[in-house]
Amino acid sequence: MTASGNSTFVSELAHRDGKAILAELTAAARERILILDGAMGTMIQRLKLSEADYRGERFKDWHRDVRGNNDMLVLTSPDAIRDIHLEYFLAGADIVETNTFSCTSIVMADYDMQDFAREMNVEGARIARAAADLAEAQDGRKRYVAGALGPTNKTASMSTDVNNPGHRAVSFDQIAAAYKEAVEGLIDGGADLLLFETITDTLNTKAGIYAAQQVFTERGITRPIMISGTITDLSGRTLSGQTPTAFWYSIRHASPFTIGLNCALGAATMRGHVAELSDVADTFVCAYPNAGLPNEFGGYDETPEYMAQQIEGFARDGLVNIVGGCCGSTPDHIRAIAAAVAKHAPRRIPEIVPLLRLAGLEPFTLTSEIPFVNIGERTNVTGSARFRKLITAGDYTAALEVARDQVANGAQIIDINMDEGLIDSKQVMIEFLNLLAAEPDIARVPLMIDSSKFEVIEAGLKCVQGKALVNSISMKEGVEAFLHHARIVRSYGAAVVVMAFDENGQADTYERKVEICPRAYKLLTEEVGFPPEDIVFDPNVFAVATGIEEHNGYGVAFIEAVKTITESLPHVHISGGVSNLSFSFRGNEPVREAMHSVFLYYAIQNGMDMGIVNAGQLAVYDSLDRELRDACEDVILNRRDDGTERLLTIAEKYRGGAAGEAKARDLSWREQPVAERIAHALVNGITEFIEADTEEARLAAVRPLHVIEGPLMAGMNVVGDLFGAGKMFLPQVVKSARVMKQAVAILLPYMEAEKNADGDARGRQTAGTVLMATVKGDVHDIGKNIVGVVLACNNYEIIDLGVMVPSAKILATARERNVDIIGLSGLITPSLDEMVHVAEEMEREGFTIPLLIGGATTSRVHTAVKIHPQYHGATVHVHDASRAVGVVSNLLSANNKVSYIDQVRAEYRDVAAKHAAGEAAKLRLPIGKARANAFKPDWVGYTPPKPSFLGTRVFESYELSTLAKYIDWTPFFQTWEMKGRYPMILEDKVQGPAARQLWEDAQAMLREVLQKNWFRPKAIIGFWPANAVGDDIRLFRDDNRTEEVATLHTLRQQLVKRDGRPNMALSDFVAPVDSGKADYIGGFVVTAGIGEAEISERFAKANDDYSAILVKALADRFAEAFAEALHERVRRELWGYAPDEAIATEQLIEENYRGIRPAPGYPAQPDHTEKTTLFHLLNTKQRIGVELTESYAMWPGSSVSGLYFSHPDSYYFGVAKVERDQVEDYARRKDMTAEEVERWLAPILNYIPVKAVAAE
Amino acid sequence: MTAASPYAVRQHSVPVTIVSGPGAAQSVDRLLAIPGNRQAAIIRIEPPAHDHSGGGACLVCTTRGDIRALLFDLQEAARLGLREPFTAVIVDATAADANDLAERLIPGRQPAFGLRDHTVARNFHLGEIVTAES
Repeated sequence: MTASGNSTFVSELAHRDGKAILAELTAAARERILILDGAMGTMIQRLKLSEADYRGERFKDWHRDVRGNNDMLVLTSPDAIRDIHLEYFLAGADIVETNTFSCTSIVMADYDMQDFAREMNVEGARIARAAADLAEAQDGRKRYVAGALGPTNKTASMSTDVNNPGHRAVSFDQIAAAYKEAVEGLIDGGADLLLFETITDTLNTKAGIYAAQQVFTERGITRPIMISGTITDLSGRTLSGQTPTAFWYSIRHASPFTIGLNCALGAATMRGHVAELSDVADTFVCAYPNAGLPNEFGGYDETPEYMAQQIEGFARDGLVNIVGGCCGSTPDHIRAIAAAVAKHAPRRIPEIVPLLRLAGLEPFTLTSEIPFVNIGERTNVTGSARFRKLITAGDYTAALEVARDQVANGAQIIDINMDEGLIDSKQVMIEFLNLLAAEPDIARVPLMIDSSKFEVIEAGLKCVQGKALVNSISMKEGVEAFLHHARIVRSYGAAVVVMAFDENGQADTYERKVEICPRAYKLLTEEVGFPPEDIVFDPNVFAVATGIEEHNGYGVAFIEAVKTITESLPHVHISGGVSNLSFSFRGNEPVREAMHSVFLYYAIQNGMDMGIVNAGQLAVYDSLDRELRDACEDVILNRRDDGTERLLTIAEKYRGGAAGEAKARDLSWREQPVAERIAHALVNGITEFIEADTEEARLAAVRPLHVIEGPLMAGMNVVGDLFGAGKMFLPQVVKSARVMKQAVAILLPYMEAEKNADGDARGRQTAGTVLMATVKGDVHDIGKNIVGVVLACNNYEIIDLGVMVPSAKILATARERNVDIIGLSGLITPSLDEMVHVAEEMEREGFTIPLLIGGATTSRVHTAVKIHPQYHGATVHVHDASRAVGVVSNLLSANNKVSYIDQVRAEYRDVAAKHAAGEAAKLRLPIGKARANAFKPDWVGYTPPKPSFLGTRVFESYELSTLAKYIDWTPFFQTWEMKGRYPMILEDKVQGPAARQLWEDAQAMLREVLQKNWFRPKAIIGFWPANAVGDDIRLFRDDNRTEEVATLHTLRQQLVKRDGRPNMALSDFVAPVDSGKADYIGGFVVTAGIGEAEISERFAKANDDYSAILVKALADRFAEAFAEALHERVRRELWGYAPDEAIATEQLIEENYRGIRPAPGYPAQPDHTEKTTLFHLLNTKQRIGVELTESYAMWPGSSVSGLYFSHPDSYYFGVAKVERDQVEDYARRKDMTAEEVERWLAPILNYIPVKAVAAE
Repeated sequence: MTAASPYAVRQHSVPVTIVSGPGAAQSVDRLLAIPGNRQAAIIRIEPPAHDHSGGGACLVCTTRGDIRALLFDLQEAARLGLREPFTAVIVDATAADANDLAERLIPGRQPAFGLRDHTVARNFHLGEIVTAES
């Protein structure tokens, strides 16, 4: 049988140009939420069709089984399919999808029916149109037919063979050809729209878009396109690994009528992802989830009512413009959904600022906060000799490692160039990109597809699912070729670098640069329809200081042209290959780095925002040697005629500069015997020679163990003595430990070998084993790590279980490893309770070993009152790391142990008794009286300021160097137990030298952090209309103040106040509802990102605890600095109540400004659980990846959250202790039990809660 | 503890033990009692449930019940802190064909269909197949 019969049918609707359809739909979607249909498969299943029913008359002798080929029913049971469509239309659908999900030649090949694909599409559309006509005749309402295009069963962006990741079962061109046939069929059958749905591979869909646009161009028509992706699992990614935002950026060039999600998830689990798209997409949003998840009876769980209720939530929150159902939904579901959403206004399309938005697996936006994008150049065969060798040798594994390193080092985009004469560039580009796609840690970032041959570029674009950047096209072959290339680039959705190059050659002078770029801009934006923000000009960086006089002006010509271009052509970007500049200084890296740094310093000021540079090798302008910097500036800015000679003269001096510097240091200690050299290295924390010295000592020793027990322990004893005597400080001790660890690492393999050779060789004798853990729910570990290092220095073996360690794991490990002491750490108040729990568990399991308690919120009193009574073994609070050694050695000493423990016990009993007496003596007010004495500002004469926007906003990739200026260094020194204010501490008589050294190390690491972009700070803030009701703050959806979105609860001071001072609660700073004033509240969460944990771990693995702790301490400072910087922006601009505020950073740190940003869990509102409301309002996990642990600690750990209050009288206060009456009232307001509230407020209760006694 | 990306490669591949046969459920409990298996995660394969289109396969819905998808979700849950980390996986295959499951775990036997399949292939490997009599 051949494809015949109806396949030549062409509906008269096929010839419409499509603009009217789009206009009608757009108008309707602005007015109300439109309804899409529900599942087709579910309805067909209900028909219980047999193999014979599928075959019908026409295919009765077909040579394959066809039951399950639902799409062929448009040929064999057209009336049944039409009736299903009609049912959906009559249930309220405005749009139905044709029954053509699998009608591509690719999928139909499974039934050997590829030749019928086109006909099925035609018929599928025709049948749906017939149902639409019937529905319109019944009620006169306009109906639409969306031609459904499924994902196919092959994938262009990934290998189907995990052993061969570069393999592809199907090519972009094959997918495009199959979709083209389907699109033609759907249009011929009368489809009004095209719907790419259930998208599992973005590259497949890009091929579909490419095909549809081809059809549009060939026929001179268009059809509105709907695009619907699928998120399949917990990761929140598409099957091909993209985040929803990255997915949107990758297909945005289709200018789709809708973007959205369908299938795989029920409404509840889909919600966060729809919300993400709703925020980022400047087009309509369409969502049609499954009716829950499949149940064991082959049906779906959600009833029409339940599903409608969920989807109504989408509508209520303004997330959607079109809704419907996927698997499991029926006309009853659609009817219920239509009724539910009819009450709600459709989502308003947000204005999206025109910025360059690229995507790999994750999105990248070039915001104004990123002054400069480093494009990694090490995967460019013309830029890296090493990469060229690897590629020509065919060593793709090592070549991928190069790419991986670049991304790990902070490259935001990587440049892939395979232009090498000896290889088939096009083929190698394809193979490399295909392999790269299977490496998620590389494919994360967007790619720059770089070649001088356009066919290589196009081949590359066919391999990339994300939104890439092409480098480059130009007018060198004339305007026609330029336009042709630009259109092709655009059809793959890529952004483009345009070289300043025309028929007359490359632009070298300022005049030529500023003549060519505007010409290209006009052609691209007006003829091709290129978005200006997707255009990057490369005005050509040429070598200077070549000795040829006319080259002298190249640097300055570029720098000035950058200014003219960015000022005259809105939204464009400027890039350049910076290394060309210093070509004449090849081999002299320090001078090249300095030249690049100076050049970028000026070019970036003028608007250059991208460049191909080696991110790891870029000097900081301010830290350049003055003489070298001046000489570079003379050359680059062409300031004097003899600039080149002068730079050449001094250049030699800087060649290999670092080595020269080392010679100048005092190395006389290297002359001493090896044991003394080791001691010197330990005391001074010098790692440089420790490997060689240890090796030398090992060769001289009988056994490797003797090196540890001999010179190493002797050196550490000196360190311990100096530390004990207050002559060394923590940072220095941690550096000593780093030396020790690296020495031991040298010896370990020999000790292992010895052990293997001789079964009973004596191992190292330690002073005892200490298990350390940050308790469950808590993520803070700097202090714990320091204690661990200090104890290790004193020959204790440390078993560090890390952070968020459940009690069961602590106890099991303690038993298994037979430890001598357990140390618990925690920073947030709920951890106090978890520590009590661990103590109880230890008691229950019959432990007797001592328990140490430490961390910022812990105290001697809490330990004495709450933890100590739970456990019969000794419980000791360790105030700081300096005390740790003393406590541990006492607890493990055979002589002192008993008396020491007795002494601690007596002390704690005393503390507990005094505490009880003291608390009872403090007078507290009943909550009613405290409220009567609330703070009552004059609301009548006050107009609360209105924020510049309502709702939430994300701030990504905040420039680290900007944040660095906001760092408050005093707490940084406190982390290291160095007390005193910065900068005075640097001049402190005793601590000064140690503080200065720590400061220098911190600055060096700060430079590295900045250069390599180690942290990825993100923030989200939100503002809501708000009014106080009693001690609560009600937040409203909008300024109508009719619909509440959340309630923030606050606690009030109950201490009796003197001198008429009020009993404060945070709600006092917000205008009460009955004041009639429209007030607002803000909230924020900022994070330094997850980079910190990884980098810290990398250092720790390399036996460098010092750097591991340093980087964590810096990350904490960055998060705080970010919160401070953002608060300033809030006051001046985003809330904008203090636009003229200008105060120096010192004042910022002292918080001398209007408005406060208190955090839940801290004195003004000690209840950590309030964070849940804030995090929910801001959707922080989805938006910036910050989440709460079960104890309401934030992960990643270097994060800060809080609320914004704008009232001029607002200030930071402490709630202090609260009484039972307030707790009970608070529990009612929060809809929690009093017991639950007592648990979270345990540290501030002014009474002893009655414990519910568990039946034993 | 927390890896940066859902697709991060683990240092050690996790063994996946498949237990089938009439006594599988009890056998899984016994395996769990072995001290070394305390950190094992359990996956119970549910009977085939979902029929996307009267016998045809919806790619996404079927892969949701797929062993690879289940392993990926398990890993993701641990990454997000929704469950304890694990060092081994035991699959109760009472309701499934152990050989089919094994086929899907041996790299290269069954086609991959998502990036996560590549991640699962790198982070998990087929351990033992245990047949438990009742």
